[in-house]
Amino acid sequence: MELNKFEESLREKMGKRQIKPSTQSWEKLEAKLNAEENKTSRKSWKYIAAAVAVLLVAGTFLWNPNTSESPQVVEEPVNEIIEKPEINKPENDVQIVSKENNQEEKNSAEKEIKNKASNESKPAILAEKTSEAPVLEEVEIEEAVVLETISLEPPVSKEKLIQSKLEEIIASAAKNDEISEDEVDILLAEAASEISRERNLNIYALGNEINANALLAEVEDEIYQSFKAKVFEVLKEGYLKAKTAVANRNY
Amino acid sequence: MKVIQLFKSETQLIKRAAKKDRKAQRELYELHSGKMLSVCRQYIKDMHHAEEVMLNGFLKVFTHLKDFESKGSFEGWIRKIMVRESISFLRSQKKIVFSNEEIADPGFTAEMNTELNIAHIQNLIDNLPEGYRMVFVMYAIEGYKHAEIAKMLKITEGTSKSQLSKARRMLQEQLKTQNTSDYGIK
Repeated sequence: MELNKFEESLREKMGKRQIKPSTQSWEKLEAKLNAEENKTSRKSWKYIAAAVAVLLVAGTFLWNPNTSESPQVVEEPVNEIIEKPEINKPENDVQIVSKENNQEEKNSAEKEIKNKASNESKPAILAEKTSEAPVLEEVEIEEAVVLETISLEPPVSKEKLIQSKLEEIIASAAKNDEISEDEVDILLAEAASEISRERNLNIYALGNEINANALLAEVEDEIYQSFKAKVFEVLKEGYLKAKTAVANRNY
Repeated sequence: MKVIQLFKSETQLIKRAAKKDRKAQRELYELHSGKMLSVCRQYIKDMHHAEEVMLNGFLKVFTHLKDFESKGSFEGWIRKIMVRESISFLRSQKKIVFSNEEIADPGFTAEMNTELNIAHIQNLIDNLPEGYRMVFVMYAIEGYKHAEIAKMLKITEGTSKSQLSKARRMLQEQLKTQNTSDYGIK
C-alpha cells in the first residue's frame, strides 16, 4: 500500500495549509492556561504543606533527646564483647589443656608400650624398672582417664546445645499445632544464628586469639537488630504523636 | 544564517515558554497555530470544534513543555499532540465506526486529477465517514504507519488497513462522479 501520486499531492498541499484561528483564540487559550496554572499551584501548595508537616514530625523524633535509643545502640555490642570471652574462658582452658594432655597421653602410652615390651622380654634384667613401671602406669592411666573425660566435654556440649535448641523448637511447635510456616522459619533462623554465634565465640576464643571476623559478625548482628528495633520504635512513636495531634487539633 | 537564528530563537522561546512566560507562549502560538488548526480540521469537520481541540492541544503543549526534549522537531511534537487531541475528541463524540469488512485495496489510478485545490481536497475528506477519514488522514497525509495508527486508535492493524482501502475506494468514486459532472458542465 504505497502512497500514490494523488496521495502525495494531498500530503504536499495539506502539509502547507494554514488556517488562521479566530481573533479571540489566544485570549481563550490564555484563560485556559491561567485556570490550569492556578489548579496546579494550589495542588503544589498542598504537597508542600504536607511535606513540611512530615519533615517537622520526623525532625521532632530524630532530634528529641528523650529518645534513649541511640546510647543503647552503642552500649550493647561493647558489653557483649567484654562479657562473652569471660564466659567462654574456662572452656578454652579445658580445650587447651586437653590438647596438651592428649599429647602427653600419647607420649606416655608409647612409653608404656615400650616399657611393657621390655618388661616382657627381659623381666629378670629390668626388675627395678618393672617395679617402677606399674606405679607410672597407674598414675598415667588415672591422668588419661581424667583428661579423656575433660577433653570429650566441649564437643558434647556443642551437640547438646544444638540438640537442646532443636528440642526447644520441636517442643514449642508441639505446644500449639497452629504455628505457621513463617513462625517456624523465624524460629529456625533464630536457632541457626544462635548456634553460629556460639561457634564463632568458640573460634575466636581458641588459643586466646580473637577472631576479627567473628567479632565483626557479632557486632553487625547486634547493630542490625538494634537498628531495626529503633526504626520500629520511631515509627510507632510518630504514629502515636500524629494520632494525638489529630485528636487534639480542635481543642 | 537566518535558519540558524530562527532555530535558536525557537529553542529560546520554548525555554521561556516552559517557565510560563506568556509572551513567549503567545509567540509560539502565533508561529504554529495556523498549521495546527489545519491538522485538527483534517479530522474534524466543524471549524469551531476543530479550533477548540487545537486550543486544548496547545494547553497540553504548554503544560507539558518540560517533557519536550529538544531532540526532535518542536513542530512534529505539537503536531502529534494535536492528532491525539483530535482523536480523543472524535472518540468522545462516539461517531467513529470501524467496519471490519475486508475490501481489496483499489489504490489510485494514474489518470486521477492531482491538480485539485485545497478546499476541494478538504471537501473530499470531509465526506468520508469518521473512521475512514481518521485512518486515511493519518496514513496518507500525516505519514503514520499502520502499526502506529492501530496503537493510537486501539484497533488492529488489519482494521487500519481495511479502513484505508475503503477510504481510498470512496475517494475514487467521489472523484469519478465529480469529474463526470465537471465534464458535463463543460
